[in-house]
Amino acid sequence: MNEQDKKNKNKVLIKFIKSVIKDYKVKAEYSTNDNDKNVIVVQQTSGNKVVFFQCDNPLFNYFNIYVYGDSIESEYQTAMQLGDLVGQHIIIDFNENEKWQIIFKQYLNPRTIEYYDIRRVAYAMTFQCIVNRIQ
Amino acid sequence: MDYNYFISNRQLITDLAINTGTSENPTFTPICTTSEVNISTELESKDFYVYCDALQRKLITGAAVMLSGTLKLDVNNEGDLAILDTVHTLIADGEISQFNGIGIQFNLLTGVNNGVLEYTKYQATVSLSVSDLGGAAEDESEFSFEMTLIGTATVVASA
Repeated sequence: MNEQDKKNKNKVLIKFIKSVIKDYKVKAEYSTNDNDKNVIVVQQTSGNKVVFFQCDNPLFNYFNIYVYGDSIESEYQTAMQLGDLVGQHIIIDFNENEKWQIIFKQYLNPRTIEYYDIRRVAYAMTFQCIVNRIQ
Repeated sequence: MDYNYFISNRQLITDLAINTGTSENPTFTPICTTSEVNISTELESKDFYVYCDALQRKLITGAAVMLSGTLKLDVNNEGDLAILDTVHTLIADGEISQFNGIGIQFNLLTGVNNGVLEYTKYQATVSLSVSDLGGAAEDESEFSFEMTLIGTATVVASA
């Protein structure tokens, strides 16, 4: 896995979440523009990692996922939908001829409501995922 | 460039199923296990020495191939109930023959082709033992099982 692949991990996860949740925009950051509604933000974050011998990248990474919806109920339902991905192993095509795997390992804080600015309330969660290029 | 391809424990051995029909007309029902089924090869060996040096030699003389795991009891699952039934027969009738010669099927990972995992499906006859019925935790309803292969398994299909 080269440096570009490591940078693509976030994009691969975003591509997959887009395919699961259709009524939200999924992106790496949100804008403070009031019209930017129904957004899921996926950002890689830090955490304890494990590196195996002869692997050139950590086995898993941590991703913060924020769900900004129209209502608490919609955020709750979307957060639960994402939480149900735990244990799944997905193979996804990315770019040309690239195949990636995503294994959703653990799911933390699924219902932490956080206030991000005066208008926005989000459900914030952290996923421990293996996002790995397999070919 | 070589890439790593990781799998979860659930993908190494899949679809462990037990015969809930008869031995003439078997029906294989997948049993509801928790995430892990283990295959272990319990090897027996003999140590010996030869004239001219002092180094120990080890020779494998046999193996007991065993599938073990924890079964999460699902009372809607006929396979799970069939295992529980062997215990009933033991308690009520004092019989042990139902633990012998049980037909099972399972898939064992063979390799990968273009990103898709490939398996070999085996059919085998095993002797069964169960333990820890009831489990340690109140809401788990789990028990442990061990299946020891009697003779070789037959390859049913590759998928």
